[in-house]
Amino acid sequence: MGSPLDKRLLWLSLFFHIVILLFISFVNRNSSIRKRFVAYGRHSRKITNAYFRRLRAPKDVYGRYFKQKSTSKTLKKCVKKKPVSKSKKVPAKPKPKKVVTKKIPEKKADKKEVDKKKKDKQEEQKKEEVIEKEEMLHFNLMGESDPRVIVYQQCIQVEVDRVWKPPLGVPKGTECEVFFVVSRDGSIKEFAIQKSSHVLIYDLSIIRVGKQFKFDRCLWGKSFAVTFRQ
Amino acid sequence: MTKRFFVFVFVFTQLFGFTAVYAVATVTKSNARTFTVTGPHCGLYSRLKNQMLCSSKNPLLFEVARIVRDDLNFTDQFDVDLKKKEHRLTAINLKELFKQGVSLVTAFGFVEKNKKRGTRVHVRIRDTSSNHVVFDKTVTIERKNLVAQGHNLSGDILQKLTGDRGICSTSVVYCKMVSSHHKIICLADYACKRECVVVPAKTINLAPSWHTKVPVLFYSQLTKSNNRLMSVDLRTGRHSVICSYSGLNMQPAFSGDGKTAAICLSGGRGNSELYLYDPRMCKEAKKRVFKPLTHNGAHNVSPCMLANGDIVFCSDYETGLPQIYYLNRKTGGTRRLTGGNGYCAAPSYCPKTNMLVYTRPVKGVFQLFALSLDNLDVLDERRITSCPGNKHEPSWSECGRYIAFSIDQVGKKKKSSQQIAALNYKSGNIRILTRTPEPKSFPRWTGQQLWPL
Repeated sequence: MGSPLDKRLLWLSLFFHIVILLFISFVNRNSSIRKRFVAYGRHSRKITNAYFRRLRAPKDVYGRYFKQKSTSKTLKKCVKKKPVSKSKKVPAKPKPKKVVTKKIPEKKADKKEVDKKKKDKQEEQKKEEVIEKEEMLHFNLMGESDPRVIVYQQCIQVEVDRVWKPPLGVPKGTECEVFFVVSRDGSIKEFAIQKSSHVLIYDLSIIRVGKQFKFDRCLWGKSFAVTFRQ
Repeated sequence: MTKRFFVFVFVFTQLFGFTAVYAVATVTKSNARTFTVTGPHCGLYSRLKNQMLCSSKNPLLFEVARIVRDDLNFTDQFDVDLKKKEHRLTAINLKELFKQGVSLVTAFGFVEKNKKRGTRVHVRIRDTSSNHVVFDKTVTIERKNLVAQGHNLSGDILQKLTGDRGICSTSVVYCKMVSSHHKIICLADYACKRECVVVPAKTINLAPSWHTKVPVLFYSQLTKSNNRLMSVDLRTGRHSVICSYSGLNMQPAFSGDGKTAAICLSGGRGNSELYLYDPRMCKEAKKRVFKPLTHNGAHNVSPCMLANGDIVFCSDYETGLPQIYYLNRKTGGTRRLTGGNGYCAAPSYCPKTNMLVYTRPVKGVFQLFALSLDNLDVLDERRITSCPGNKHEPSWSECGRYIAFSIDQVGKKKKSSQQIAALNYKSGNIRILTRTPEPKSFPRWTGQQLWPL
C-alpha cells in the first residue's frame, strides 16, 4: 500500500468515482418516468372487464380456463347420459315380474342420487365461476411485471379517483393526455395538456383539477404523462 | 508497460461498473409501457363553473342570457351563475376567477337595436385558465322568437363546448286539462317556456304520439260514439280522422322508418287488442287491413315498436294486473319482462340506448324504472326515481339522456295537480318544467324543432 503506484491508483479511482457520481447526479436530476398512465372515466369498469375476458381467450396462456369449460361441458353431458346408462343397467339384472315392484324404490333412490349429484355439480360450477371471477380481479391487464410500476399505477389511480370527476355526457373513448411534473415537495410543478380530447368541457374538467393532484411520495420529483379516458 | 496496463484495466473496470449500473438504471426507467388506472366510480360528476355576465341596460339581452343559462344548467354539465354586470375582464381577473374554480366566463354584449333587423347581441366565452376566446358570435334577436332564438344560441354554445347540440332544439307535446270535459293538446319547447295549442277542439283529446319521420301528431279524441284516432300535420295545421272504429282507437306506435305502426283497437269488445298496420299488406289486399298482434282477451295497450320490429306492450292477461311484455313478431311468442308483481304500465322505448322506461308503484307511489333490452336473458330493472309524487307516462328524448313524464305535485293551496317534469337519466336530477295550475299529462318528446309554428 505504501508504494507510489498504489497511492496514484487510489487517488485516480477516487477521482473517477467522484466525477462519475457528479455526472450521474447531474444527468439524473430530472427523473422523468417515460411512461403513459391511462386513467379511465366513470364507465371504465365495464370496458376493462370486457377486455379481461378477451385476454382470457388464448389457449396457451390460460389453459386452465378452457379446462374448466371443458369439465363443465362434460358434466352436462354426463347428466344427460346418466339416466340412459342406468336404464341400460337395469335390464342386465334378472327380471322376474314380481321384482318390478322392488325396483321402484331403487329407481326413486337413483333419481334422488342423480338430483344430489346435479346439485353438487351445480354448486361446483358456481364455485368455479366464483373462482374465475376472483381470478379476474387479480388479473393484470397489461401484463405488467415491474412491481415499482404497479405501485406507480396504483398511486395514480387512487389520486385520480380522489380528485377527478369526469363531466356528464362525454362520449366513451374520449381521451386527453396530460403531462405532469411533480416537484420534490409533492406539489404539481408543471401541468400541460399534450393531446386534447377535442371536447372542451372534458379538457377543462381536467385543467380545473390539474393543480389539485397530490401524488404519493414515490412519484415526488418525477415527471410522467397520464391519459384521462372516458 | 504492466503498470500502465494495470492502471488502464483498473480505471476501465471502475468506469464500466458505473456506466453499466447507470445504463441499467436508465433502461429500466425509460422502458415505455402503458398502464391502466380506473377513474372515479362513485357516480359523481363534475359540473363546469361558468360565470355569465350581462349588461343590465337591455332587458331583452338579459332574457336571452337567462334562457341560455337555464339551457346550460339543464344539461347538468355546467353550473352557470348569471350576474348583471358590465364585463371588463382583464387577464388578472380571469386568473382570480380560475383560482375560485370558474372555468368559463360568458359575456353578453349589446351591439345595436334596429326596428327592422331586431336587436343584435354579441356573445363571447373565454377560458379562464388560458384567457383564450372559446366562442364568439353575434346574433340577431326578436321579441317574437326570443325563446327559439335563445335555444338556438344555447345549441351553438353546447356544440362548441361539448360537441353535441343537446336537446335545445327539441319539442314536447302534452295534454292540458282546461275543464273536466275539455282537454287540449299543447306543443312547447323542451323547457316548456313557451307553449302553443295544437289541438283546441272542445272535447277530450288525449294520448298524443309522434310519427317518427314527419311532423305529424296523432291523438285520440273522445266522441259520443267512440274514441277515434286523429292526426294533425304541423306543417299545414290540417286535422284528419285516421281510425274511427267502435270503441278505442288510440296509441299508434311507428317503426323507425315510419312505414308500419302498431295500434290499440277495441272494436266494441270489452277489451283492447294490438293490431299492425302495414301499407304493403293493404296494397296486396286493396283495402285497409289491420293484422292482429294479440288475441288474449285481456287489455293490451301502450305498444312500442323496437328497432328490430318486435313490440313491447302492456297487458294484464297473465296476472290480472298490467305488466310489460315483449312480443317477438317472427315467432309470435310473448314474454313477460317485468316481475309479475305490482302494476307496471306506460312503457316507452328509446332506440338509441335500447332501453325501456315504465312506471311501477313502490310503497304506494308510482316511480320510474328503466330496463335494458340488450340481453333479454338477464333483465336488469333499475329504479331511476325515488322522490315523492306519482310519476306517469314517461317518454324518452331522442338522445336517450332525458325522460319527460307527468308528476303529481301538491300546490300552495294543498291541491295536487299534474305537471310536466324532465329527468336527466345520468345525473338523476328532476326538473319541473310547467307551473300553471292546469293538470298536464301524456308528455311526448320529439327531436324536431317545431316551434314557433
